[in-house]
Amino acid sequence: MTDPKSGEVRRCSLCHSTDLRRSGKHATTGKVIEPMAPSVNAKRLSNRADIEKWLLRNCKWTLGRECTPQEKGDVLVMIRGR
Amino acid sequence: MNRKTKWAVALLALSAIRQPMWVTQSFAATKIFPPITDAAYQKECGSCHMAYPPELLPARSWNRVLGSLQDHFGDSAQLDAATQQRIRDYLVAHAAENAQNEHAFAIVHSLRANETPLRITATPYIAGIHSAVLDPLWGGNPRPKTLAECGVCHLQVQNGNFTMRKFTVTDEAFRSNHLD
Repeated sequence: MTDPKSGEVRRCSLCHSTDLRRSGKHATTGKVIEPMAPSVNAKRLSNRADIEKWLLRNCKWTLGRECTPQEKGDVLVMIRGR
Repeated sequence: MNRKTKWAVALLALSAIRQPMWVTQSFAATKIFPPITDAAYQKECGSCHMAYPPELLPARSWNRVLGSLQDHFGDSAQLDAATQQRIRDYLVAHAAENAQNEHAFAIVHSLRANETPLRITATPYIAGIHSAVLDPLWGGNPRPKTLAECGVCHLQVQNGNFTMRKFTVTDEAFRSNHLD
């Protein structure tokens, strides 16, 4: 989905950076987001409710819709491998 | 006694019973915000931006924010119903009009009764004291991209202290009117 302010296409990396072992920055507020990779941040992918909450919110921000189960699975497998 | 005198006597009597806070407390002591005590608020709201002291908005604003989480400034901040209610209760209980704090008092009284801003920076008091920071012609440094993260400039914000600032405000008129 295109960001109405910047005209840029929204991507996960706008907040999480392209290296999941490093911290990112919230695209709007600039707040630091701790690394997503479980190899450097053990809290990641450890709470089912949190995973579902963030996938719901962030799919809507990034794509303008909820993700399909397949897409969610792909993202989780990718994150787990980092 | 005429009507006016009666009113004056009644007001005097009332003020003797309940002295306003600015008479009994020093301003300096009421500038610091108490720490956030609700873990759900800290976790759910504090992951994307600083968990703002609830004293910075009136209850009607918090109710509006909590009622529009589907579109929270262009982002989805959806919560389950129970967590949402818990956070709403916390924020309303500590809202500006319920706080003993100089800034909270100024925020409440800078708003008209029919105004319900969603943003802290949209309250006239907060907008006013940040006007120089937001001015593109401001000579100070650095100019923040957004005012969402108070801690960029207010270095002691994790202690609820907004008085300490990183930047130098060059406008002397602004400094004398608004800083400390």
